[in-house]
Amino acid sequence: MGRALKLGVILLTVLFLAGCWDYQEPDETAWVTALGVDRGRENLLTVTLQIAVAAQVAGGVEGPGGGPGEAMVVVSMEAPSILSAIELTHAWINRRVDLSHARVVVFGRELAEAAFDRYLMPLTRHRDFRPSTKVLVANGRAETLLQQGEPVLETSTALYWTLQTGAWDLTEFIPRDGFGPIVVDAKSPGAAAMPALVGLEREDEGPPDPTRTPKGAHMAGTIPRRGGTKIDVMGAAVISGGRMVGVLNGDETGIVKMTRGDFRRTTKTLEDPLHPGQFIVVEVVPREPPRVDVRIMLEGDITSIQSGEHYERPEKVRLVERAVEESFRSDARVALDKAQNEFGADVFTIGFHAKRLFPTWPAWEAFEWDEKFPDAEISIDFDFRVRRIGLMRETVPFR
Amino acid sequence: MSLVRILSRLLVFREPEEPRYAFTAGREDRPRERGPGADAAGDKTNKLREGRRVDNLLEQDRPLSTSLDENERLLREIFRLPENKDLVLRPFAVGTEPPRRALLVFMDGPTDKTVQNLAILQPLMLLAGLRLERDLEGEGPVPGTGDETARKELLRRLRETLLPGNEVTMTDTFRDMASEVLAGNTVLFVDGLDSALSVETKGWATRGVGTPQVEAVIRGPHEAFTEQVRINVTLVRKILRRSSLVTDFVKVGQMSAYQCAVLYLDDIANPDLVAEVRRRLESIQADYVNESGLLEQFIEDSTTGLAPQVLATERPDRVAAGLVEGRVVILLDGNPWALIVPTTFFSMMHAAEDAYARWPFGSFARLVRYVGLALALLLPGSYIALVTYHQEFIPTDLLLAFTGAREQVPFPSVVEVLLMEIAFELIREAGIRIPGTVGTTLGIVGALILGQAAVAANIVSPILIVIVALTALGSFAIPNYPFSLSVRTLRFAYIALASFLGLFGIMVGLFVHLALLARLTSFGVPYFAPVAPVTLGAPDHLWRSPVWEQERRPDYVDPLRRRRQPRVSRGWVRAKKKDDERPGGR
Repeated sequence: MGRALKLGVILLTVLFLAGCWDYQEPDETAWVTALGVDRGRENLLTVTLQIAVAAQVAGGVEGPGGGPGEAMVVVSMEAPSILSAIELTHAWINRRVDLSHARVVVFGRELAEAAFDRYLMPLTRHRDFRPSTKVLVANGRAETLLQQGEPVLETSTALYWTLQTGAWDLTEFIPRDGFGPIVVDAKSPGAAAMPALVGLEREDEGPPDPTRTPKGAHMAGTIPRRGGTKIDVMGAAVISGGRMVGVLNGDETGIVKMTRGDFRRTTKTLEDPLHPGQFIVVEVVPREPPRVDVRIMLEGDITSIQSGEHYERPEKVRLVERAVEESFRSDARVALDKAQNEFGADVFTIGFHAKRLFPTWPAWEAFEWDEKFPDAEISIDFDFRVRRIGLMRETVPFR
Repeated sequence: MSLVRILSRLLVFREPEEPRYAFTAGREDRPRERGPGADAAGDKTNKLREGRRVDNLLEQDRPLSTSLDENERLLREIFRLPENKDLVLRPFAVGTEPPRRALLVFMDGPTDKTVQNLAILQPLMLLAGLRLERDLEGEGPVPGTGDETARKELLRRLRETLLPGNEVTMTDTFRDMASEVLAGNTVLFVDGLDSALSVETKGWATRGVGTPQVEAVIRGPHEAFTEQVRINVTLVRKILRRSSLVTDFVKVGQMSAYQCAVLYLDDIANPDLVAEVRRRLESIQADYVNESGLLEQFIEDSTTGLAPQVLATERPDRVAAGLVEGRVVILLDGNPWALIVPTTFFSMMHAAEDAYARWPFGSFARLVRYVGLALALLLPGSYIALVTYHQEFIPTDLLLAFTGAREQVPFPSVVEVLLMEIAFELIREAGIRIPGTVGTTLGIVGALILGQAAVAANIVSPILIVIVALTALGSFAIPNYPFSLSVRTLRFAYIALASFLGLFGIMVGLFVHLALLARLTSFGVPYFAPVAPVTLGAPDHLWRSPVWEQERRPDYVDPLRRRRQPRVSRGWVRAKKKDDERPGGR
């Protein structure tokens, strides 16, 4: 045998030592689209897997009744850890369970309040989870949420979760962060993780609310609505010290997103400053990145003036601008108060910006920002300009 | 016949009788039965001895004899008369006083009878008396054949005054004479002369100049080479009317010495390159080199290389473009494919049309072709790698679609891909071999196998039809057929690598593949020139730049003249300066 041949055989063998014997047919795999983790009923945890029925998503097979079948299967089991639960799953799921396409990890509220970090951190070791996987906190049990949360517009639950958690740039009420940033925030001094809050649609209409509450005052599970999916995503859970310490409603989430630079757009409905009882509707988008004094630069378009007052005129535009600023300011006051006094957690990530004032990391750590945050003097100011007034130069009332 | 005999014939084995064949391969020890014709065929050793004698006769350059009878005897021996019915020996008398015995030798078939009748037989038989014996401009009457000078004089007069053929050459040896006869010329022997005259009477059937079958274009000339080397050289000369275009003939092969033309521009091509091409061609000692594909394998640098190192083309315009760049072109008689050397990987991906379309679109066409190359080579392998190893690469919904589509298919993805690829290769191979009269059935069968039926039968998933179709399209987009054969075959290597090692395997394969290709040379030119190594030249390899930027010939060919056009080739775009008036070339 020639030397070249020997060398070739050795090199070829080395190739196979690379250990890539991970051949796995996709149709022998159960693709998990959502993972739910709750405090266990019998064991430590209740782990829920939402598994896509691929044949159904691909649009091939009819359901038992002749109509379209279920596009997902939800299984829950009691186990001491997530991985052991997945192993246990194979007792009644004949395919290898694969988490690499899990779009969301949902933590039950009870578990999140008790020990969020203890169950989130182990997942970072697992190569299946990608930084873009969203972490959500349910306002009830994740198990029931996943069981009932069948999408309406999509057949694929994966697509549903992608789009639903991706709606953060359509509204100010949904936080942006996924698995990666949340883990980073939760570990860093000077920042608090803020996973989105998810809840089941409220069952009753609730007590009639005579006041015209701004829509942002709601959060997942309390939104006044009828129809659609059973799941809401709105507002945020605040994680501090490894535990969930509270929730932010939609408006507060919006303020936090502004300070974090995640804010994309929102629509403000204001009471007309000159005609109480009537409303002006303004669409707001960021103008410049926030500066940390904190001054938030916004701009927007007037989309509706019910009273017919000529707010489009330069001398009156300032009135609208003030009203918008005041509205944001009051939201910010509430959010800041909640963060400093209720949670004691820097959800605004002001610490991220403050830390550049320190020469070294130990100096920053020694400063103990998290301790000082509740007593810090923080003012959030808004600077809003009306950019456009819609396709109308001036309002002429009907006669 | 009794029943017992019939039964015994059926049941009992008996030695069969010796078959009555005169020839059974591998049975030389057995005394052969003497049948009719056995004597004429002679013994094997006799035959061999006879062949050797004729070979010696030819190889030793035996001169022709002055005796016509002796010449005829040897001719009969050389051409195996009387068994061979193709050679015609036509004895006649040259019409002198007294008549002189002469013999016309030619092949029946490749010669033109009209030319023979009108340009050889008629003047010799009817006009010889008038022209030979008359005192030609004071030269005196034709002397007898007694001495050497007289013989020379007769030959000269025959050639100059009596044979109106356009090409008359003199042959002195049997070898030259034989090759003239075989080339379709008519050879004239005259008694008493030890030289023969060969008159050009080639007249065999040839195919006319047709349109390119393989390298078709939309824009550009629609002429392709044909099977005759003379016509092919003419096609090139028609494009390149340049006195420095040299056509040199080299004899290649031994069994039948085919004419092989080497074309180059004497003032551009590197003389070392020309000498090397000629050296390689002349050194070939092979039985049978009648096709440029065979010749290619004899002259290429690496016979185990993964890609062709000689560019075969059927387009005269491409040959002309190659010549102008300083390359050497080899044309083989009887063959419509010209070989251009040296060549590089990038020439394999070029089509004639790239230069004819305006440059953005020519470049775009090339880009599309490279995409096609990547698809043809890597798509099935990548599909297997992604679907079975790296599912996280695939968007979730696409993955679920793949999964759902595969639910009904009982085979692993690899088997599925191999099934479809083999089916496709079958269709392609059958498509070439299928007789034209039943050609339409192939379309139906192919569409059925590669189409809905395979999916409906749950043998493959629908997504795979898309993969195979894209792969096929990609491989058809590769303009060079030998190169596309290489891609077709290597695709299966990538499928194997992907199924064992996933994307890692494809990366390893690609690395080795590129390394092996980079190691290739074509007549000493690195295969990836001018990219690896980087050499000067016009921006015309991956990307086709505007025609006015094509100022230099490729440096890797090392042409005698580097510059092909001045810096400003479009003289009208600015006021004339003295510099610009210089012609191209340095």
